[in-house]
Amino acid sequence: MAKIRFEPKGIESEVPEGANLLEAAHEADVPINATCGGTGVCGTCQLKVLVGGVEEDPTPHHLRHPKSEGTVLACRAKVTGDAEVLVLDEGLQSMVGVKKRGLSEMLFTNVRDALAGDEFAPPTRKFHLELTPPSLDDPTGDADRILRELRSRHGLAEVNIDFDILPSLSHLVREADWKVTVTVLFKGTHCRLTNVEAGDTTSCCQYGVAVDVGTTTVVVQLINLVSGEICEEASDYNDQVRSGEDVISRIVYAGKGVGLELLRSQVTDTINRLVERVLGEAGVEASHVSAVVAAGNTTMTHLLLGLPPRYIREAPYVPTIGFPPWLRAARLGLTSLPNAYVYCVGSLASYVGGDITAGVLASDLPRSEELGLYIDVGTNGEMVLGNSDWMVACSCSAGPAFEGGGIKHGMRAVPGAIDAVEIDPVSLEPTVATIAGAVPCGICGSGLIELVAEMFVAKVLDPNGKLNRQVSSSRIRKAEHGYEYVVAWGAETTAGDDIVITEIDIDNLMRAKAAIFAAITLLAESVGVQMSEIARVQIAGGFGAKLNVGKAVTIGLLPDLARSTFSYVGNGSLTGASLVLCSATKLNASVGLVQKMSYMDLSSNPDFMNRYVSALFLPHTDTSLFPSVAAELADSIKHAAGGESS
Amino acid sequence: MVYSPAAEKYNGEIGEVVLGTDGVKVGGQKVLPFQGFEGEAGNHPIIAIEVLDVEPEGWPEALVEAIGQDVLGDPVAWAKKAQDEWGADAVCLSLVGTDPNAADRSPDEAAETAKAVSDAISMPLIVYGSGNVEKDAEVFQRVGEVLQGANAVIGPVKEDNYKTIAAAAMGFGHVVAGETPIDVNMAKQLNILMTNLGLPADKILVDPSTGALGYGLDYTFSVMERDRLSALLQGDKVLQMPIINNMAKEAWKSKEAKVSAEEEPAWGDAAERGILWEVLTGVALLMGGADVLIIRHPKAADVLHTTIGLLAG
Repeated sequence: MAKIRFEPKGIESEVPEGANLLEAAHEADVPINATCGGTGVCGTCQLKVLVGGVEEDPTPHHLRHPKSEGTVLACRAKVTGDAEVLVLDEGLQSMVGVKKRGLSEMLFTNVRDALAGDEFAPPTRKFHLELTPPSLDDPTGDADRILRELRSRHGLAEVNIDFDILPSLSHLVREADWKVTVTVLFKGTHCRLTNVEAGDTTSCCQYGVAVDVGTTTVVVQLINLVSGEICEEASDYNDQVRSGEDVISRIVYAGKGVGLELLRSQVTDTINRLVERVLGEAGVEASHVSAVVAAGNTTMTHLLLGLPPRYIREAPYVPTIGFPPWLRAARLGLTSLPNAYVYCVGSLASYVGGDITAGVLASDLPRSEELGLYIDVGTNGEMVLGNSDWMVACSCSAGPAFEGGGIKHGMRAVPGAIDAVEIDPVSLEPTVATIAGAVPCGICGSGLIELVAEMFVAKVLDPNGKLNRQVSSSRIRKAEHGYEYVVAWGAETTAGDDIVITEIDIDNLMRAKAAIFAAITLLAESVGVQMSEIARVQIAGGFGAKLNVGKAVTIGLLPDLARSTFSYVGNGSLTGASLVLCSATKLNASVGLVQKMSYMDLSSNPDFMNRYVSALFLPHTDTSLFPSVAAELADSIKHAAGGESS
Repeated sequence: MVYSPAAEKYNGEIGEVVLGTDGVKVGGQKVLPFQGFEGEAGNHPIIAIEVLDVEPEGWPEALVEAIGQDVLGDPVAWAKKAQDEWGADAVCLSLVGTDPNAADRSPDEAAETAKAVSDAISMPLIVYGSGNVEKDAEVFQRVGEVLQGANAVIGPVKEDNYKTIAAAAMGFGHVVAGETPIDVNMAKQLNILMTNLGLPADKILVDPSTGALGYGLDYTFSVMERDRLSALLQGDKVLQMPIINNMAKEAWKSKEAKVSAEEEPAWGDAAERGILWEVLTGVALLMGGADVLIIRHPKAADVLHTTIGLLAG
């Protein structure tokens, strides 16, 4: 065994000699980013060896993040004896963001308002029972007595009882003087008795949790299942980010040693942390949460359930299960919710998951005869085209740029994130706005889109994503790994450091937007639809409180349609999960939706790569696709010329 | 019933680019290469003979003999010979000597050579740099200046130095050869970037990067094919420029063009083999849509001229 110490936090751990340094770090709960999943290509897991026993395999030449002097890649290093290492980049810092209800960025504050006419009927319901105490004439068992009462009084014939309830049941009913409240979970035609409480708790104390299990970000919402009110919302980066930045690297990681178990505990830790936070904020007891609905992509759902995701990645790309059953939360490691049952929204395919099902459910798509396009921009970009009669879906990998991942000063859309930027075309000075007006500490997805669009229009940025070195501005400078543009000087920021956007960041954003645009065009073409026939486009994703659609068109992320065609619907996955949590009709509809959708696989589509490469340009190499952007650029040239002469 | 052959419907045409000051034009096709039976086949492709600014090393004996040892160290005499004796349509001066990893000749020396060659010939001059992006940018600021009025082709212009070289081309009235690594979209991007700077489309040639026969020719061919299909059938304006193939150095780098008959007896006569390698590479590129071929061997120039004549009918 070798003793290894991780600085600066001084965490110590014992590992067998020959152990992989990255795995050793993760097992010791030392957060190190390995965005490629530890395959030696990203260069994010660099560590400095302070003392001794670490041996590194030769480093590959083309790392996405160049290696600094005197570091080793943790994923390619093994522990050969006692050692001390210094963690350089802890990666995406956990940063719980809480949204108070009533804040303007929430699209609605009561789920009842979003049900669009469907009945408010959460899957769990409480029944107060006043049981007749047993006697020699009526010696029926305690549990059977409850079931009998449910049958005779409430007409619930098919109720199974959770074994977990039984050990304490006999004591509980007697203590409660035979007056109890039971929680029943309605799952299709079957019911399950999931909890027994003393006294009458039906009038209050029924809560549910909706969870968006994103590849990069996890968001939970606490919902009152009696009133429909959204009590609290909290979000944080998914702890799994340390083990790979996209689903593919997570799948790779899951296949290694204890990788699957580690990933499962990382996501449940994240959810538990957020649940405890919202419960604390709202002053709600954990035992009063009876149902959880989680929506995530297929890989995230598998990892939450602890199912090996391996075959999602291998042709013909088959998941273990599309519609997982209701499961007790504690069984999944969601220890923060002792009495809750969890439902994961069903998925269409390995790469079109429950998050999309949920998002489409929350969108106008299934309710309108007009042709609509739903786009969820996250680490995966997923899009669904269709109307109330038919739908076709596809997905592409976009990377975490829109959620602030892989961006030097990227962050999630929480207070302090720059979410709007304007650049003066003459002075090239930016004016930034932040979420909640806080002191800037980073840039979120919507800020990034505005920033790049403004830089492009102001000619600070060339259409190939390179900073214009010929512009004289103190904001454009050469740094260690290439050119960068200063968005905010250190004096204006929380950390006191300049907030910059680098050419590498811009490259990441361009790749993300190119993949999404390529997928949109291929999807439309696959069903013979012209972009101009699309009556409405609903965009979901964790960009920020708002998305400037015009700027998203300027960079070529979205097709150049009339701006009134677009609407931003926020976190569609979370909204859909909350609907399923509050309405059995919605739950059934989510299943029906999946059956109505067809899946188009882009990975086997030879044209995708070509479309992708042709979109790696601002706004696109085919400028005729973006007439309004061409006009905007022409205007800005005139404007700048006018500005200079005056 | 009368048989009428199916006619391709074209939606675009290749622009014409004037090279030099004697009215030599390339491009102008309204149909795929040599499909004269469908419409206007445009200007014939031209053959440029490559001339080096420094004496070449390691060239096969037969090639040296064909060119003449006496002119190899003298780019002016070499260029004149190409014009007067070999029937070249143009001369390509390759400034390999400016490469910082080779002789590292200065921009001034390069400019002097370019000026001397330009003055000695009446046909179009193409000047290719060493391919080192920083050095080429410096070299072409000087070379562009001294060649003002010659309407030369200068290149290769790449994504990393297009601003400087395209500016020199605009300032001093030259045509640029924009080189991208065997990729249609990269070619489009570079063309957009250069035209955004204000360089007119009729001052641009596309250099798609060239692999020789057996060394990636198939990649070059298919990318040229896609270039032409986009330009002519899909009417993609940013690809409607003539194509230049800097193929000589590639063809003559191949083992098949270099190795002696003693070393590889089964491969036959080395002199003939070298010519064939260059000719076959050239013919394939012509079929793919080449408008300017840069080659080395006088005999290959002959054969390619004949081939062009036959193909163009």
